[in-house]
Amino acid sequence: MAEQETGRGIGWGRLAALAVAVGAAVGGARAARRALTPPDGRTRVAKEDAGGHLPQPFAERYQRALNDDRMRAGLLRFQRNWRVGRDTAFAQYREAEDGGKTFEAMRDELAATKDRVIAAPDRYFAQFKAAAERNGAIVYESHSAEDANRYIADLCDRKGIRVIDKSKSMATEEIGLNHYLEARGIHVAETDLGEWLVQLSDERPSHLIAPAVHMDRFITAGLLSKATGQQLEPDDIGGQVRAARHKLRDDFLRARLGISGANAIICETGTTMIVTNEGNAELVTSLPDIHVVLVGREKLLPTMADAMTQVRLLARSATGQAISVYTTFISGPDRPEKEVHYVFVDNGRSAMAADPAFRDALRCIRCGACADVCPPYQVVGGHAFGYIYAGAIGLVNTPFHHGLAAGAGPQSLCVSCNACATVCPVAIDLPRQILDVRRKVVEEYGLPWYKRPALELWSNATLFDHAARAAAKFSRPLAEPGGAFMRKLPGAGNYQRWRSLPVPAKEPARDRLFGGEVHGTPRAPRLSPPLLQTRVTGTRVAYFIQCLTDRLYPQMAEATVRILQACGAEVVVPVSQHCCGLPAFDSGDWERAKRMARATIESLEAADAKWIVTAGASCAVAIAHEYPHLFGDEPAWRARAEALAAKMLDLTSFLVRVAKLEDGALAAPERNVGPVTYHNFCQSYNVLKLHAEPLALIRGVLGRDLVDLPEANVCCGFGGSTSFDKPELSEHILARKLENVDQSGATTLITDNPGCIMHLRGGMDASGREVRVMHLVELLDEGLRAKFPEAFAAPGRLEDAAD
Amino acid sequence: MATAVSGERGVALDLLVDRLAERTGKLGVQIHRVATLDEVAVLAAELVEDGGPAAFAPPAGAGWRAIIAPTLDAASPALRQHLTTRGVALAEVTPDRPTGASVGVAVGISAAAHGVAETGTMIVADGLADRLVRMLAPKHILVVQMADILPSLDEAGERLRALTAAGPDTPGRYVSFITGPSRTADIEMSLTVGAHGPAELHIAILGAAQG
Ligand code: SF4
Ligand code: SF4
Repeated sequence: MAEQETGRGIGWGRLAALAVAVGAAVGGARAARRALTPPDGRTRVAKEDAGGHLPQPFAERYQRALNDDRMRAGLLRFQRNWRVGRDTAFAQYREAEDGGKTFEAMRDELAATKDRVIAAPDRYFAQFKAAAERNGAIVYESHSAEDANRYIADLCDRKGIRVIDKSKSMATEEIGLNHYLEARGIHVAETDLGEWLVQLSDERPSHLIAPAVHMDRFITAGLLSKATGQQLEPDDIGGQVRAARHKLRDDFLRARLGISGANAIICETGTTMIVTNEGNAELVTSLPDIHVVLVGREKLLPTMADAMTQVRLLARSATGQAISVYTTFISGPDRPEKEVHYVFVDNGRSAMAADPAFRDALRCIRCGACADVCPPYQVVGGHAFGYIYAGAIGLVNTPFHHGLAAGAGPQSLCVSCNACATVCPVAIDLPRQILDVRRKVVEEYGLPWYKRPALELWSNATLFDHAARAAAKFSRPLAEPGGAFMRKLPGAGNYQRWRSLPVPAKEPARDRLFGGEVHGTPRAPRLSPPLLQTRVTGTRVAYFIQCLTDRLYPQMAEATVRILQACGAEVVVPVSQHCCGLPAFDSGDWERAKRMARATIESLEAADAKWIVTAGASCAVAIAHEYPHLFGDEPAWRARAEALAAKMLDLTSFLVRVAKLEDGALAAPERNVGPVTYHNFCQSYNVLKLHAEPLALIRGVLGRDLVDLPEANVCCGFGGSTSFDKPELSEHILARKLENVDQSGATTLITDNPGCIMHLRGGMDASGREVRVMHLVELLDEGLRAKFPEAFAAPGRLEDAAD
Repeated sequence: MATAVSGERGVALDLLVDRLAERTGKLGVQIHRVATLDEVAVLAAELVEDGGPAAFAPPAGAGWRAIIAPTLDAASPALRQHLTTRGVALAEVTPDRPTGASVGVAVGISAAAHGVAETGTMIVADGLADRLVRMLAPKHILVVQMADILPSLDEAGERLRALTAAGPDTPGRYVSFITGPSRTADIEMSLTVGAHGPAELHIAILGAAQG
């Protein structure tokens, strides 16, 4: 009974293994896996990995995490502190007179070094092995996780060792070493405090460098009180640490074999570099006469100078320190009775190196930064947002180390905000790799049941148009008084409670903008005279409307056309335009995504315009950045995608970088609308690198004041289809954003992506907040009308179709 | 005063000392600019006088002691003399009980091969017994020669390479960069010093005394 209720002890591993065995007997293991493992990884597949002690099924981990508000609060503080510490550390080094290197310069240097090693692993490995053996170390290349475990267990048996100690090592977690040894009666003492805490609670590390970051001081006090036999107070954290120190010291003195990982292994000298703050690795690698280093080839670095570059990046990225407290360099035995063994594990690394889309992930130096910036990680922690490895890198490497089924659930939590890519100290393109994993998951297990029909409808321009018009018509009676949002529908609790859904516009933007044309690329109706001095006077610009703008917010579309025309551009609108395919792409459905991308490329090419502009920033990202990747194996389409990408711009970039709007161009006497703030749509900030540009438009061109928004660059939680697939996750990320808006004191929130606007408006409404959420183009449009009232005085020309 | 230069960049040593002091200061390390080993002994005497945490307390009747790392002891026997003159009781490292030293010992003293101004790091390269002295007492004094302070991790990497390439039975087999007191933030990010190693770190820079 109790087992049922808590969901523990059900023996998933055995059930899954049994089911796989039965399935294999009936119709092949692959078919069985397909049937047994839905895309969220609810059923665990007993793969060859980790010696049996595997995480619980994803759905359980996710649900448990959603129920843990204390963890969430802790992780929010953790992320905020980390952000300040990390940014300060890099800035101080850049500005120091004996420093001067930027994060980017050091990052690119280390990435290039790592790439040299990844490209010629055998050569560097041979160099390391020769040097290590010269130093008197023993180098063993294991051929499986099991084999690596066995080597260490055999070593213990041979020497009659029953107690070993360990400093933190993710590689040992990966192969389930503790479990393997404990099952053979060998006691493993974890000496890193965080690692010991998760060992005491029979969990896995939830963060690469802060294993127990999901626990608060009450939990740790309970665990440590039990382990030390002392009554420890939650508020006396120093006392908890001291008690742990004394207890662990016994283990240090008893252990006769010490196991560590390595932060780097250096080829030219045959050296292991280990980094800790506690100093536990010094003891683990000093006191026992045998030291085993468990490591993968991806840790190889050619020279000591390279190691120094890694040192400069690692601690700053991990904890905001310039360097960790202890950085230890061990080059073989340091006394006659000492043995040093290297056990190399592959466990999917060669497969990664062989896959061009994932090779870069082997650069990882395990700093944890990709978790520290990740909004979904803050909501659910590393047990759900990861498998053995947590954070973005865990979403990428799990399929290689532990099989696609193990990675299927966690990857579904990424909202593609791209924040991780901006802080990774070795420039791994994590967001793209996560989408590549998602594609593999969809290819293997199919789309969730509800997504297939939705995407089928969405991908068919004609059907979609009919459906959207029908929805616009039939949703009217369901609108709340006032008409902007739907009444709460029965049964839609999880989707609507925290975010009101918009009522579609009576008339889509296309009806007005196409002027009744049914094909070709007609000129947009004249909504504004050319009023401004710009660099685009007379330039032919094709306008890509974007689905949500078209169907929900036609007034945004008109505002966009008005601004472009005010700049003097000749605005044309390709009639055959439909959705760019982003919903299919970010769902991992490449087949439909490509179909929609091809149609979009054809439609926009035919416009024969100098520039293609959209006020849907996420579509600009999809078209300019994802299309070329989407057609990676179709050279002809890839070339067309690249040509299109060169012309594709989001509105902000277009106005600032191409039209070069002048400061004050739209400055009108300030009306008292209260404080305004700006939310950086995550992809605009992280992918399009729009940092100064929106501010240039608001402060410069409009001449308006802006108040600061805390965490302005952190995702709002819309995340494309994520907010429908994982509404609970989306709700929490939105709550963080709304609290930040409260902090700012703003009454108007501006951003540049229609999906986020829908999400934020719905969130403001559902939570009873009275903050206007506007697209930047609407603010510009307000400025335009206020600046040139006479130009818009004539009736009939100016009213919005949606009004 | 000090006009000697360190490293290829030729930065004046006293500037390096200032930088090192500034950066270690932020880590809670205390820098002592001393002219002689006797001043190190005076410092040690003060620290012994202040005692250590109850958990390390000496048995009833006995007083707190200091301990000298064997490598430093061998290289600078004068230090032992000065300590004794200053009335500091010493614990001894014995080969059979290398860790027996932790009871009643308030202060460990060892030598650093180099300092690194960029990060406030001390580079130590010695043996197991030295490392234990460094880890097991609650307070530690690292003694470094002013002339051995390097400007940055670049020079440190070069020295490290030379040390590790020196062959078996040289101190280069096991080299540590130590930057501040042992610490952990594993419980609610709350920074706690003295996780496994010393909670209090002192750096005595020999030859850097003012005036
Ligand atoms: S893209 Fe955003 S959501 Fe996805 S892993 Fe990176 S930081 Fe997390
Ligand atoms: S992927 Fe990058 S950011 Fe993430 S842990 Fe590895 S090195 Fe750090």
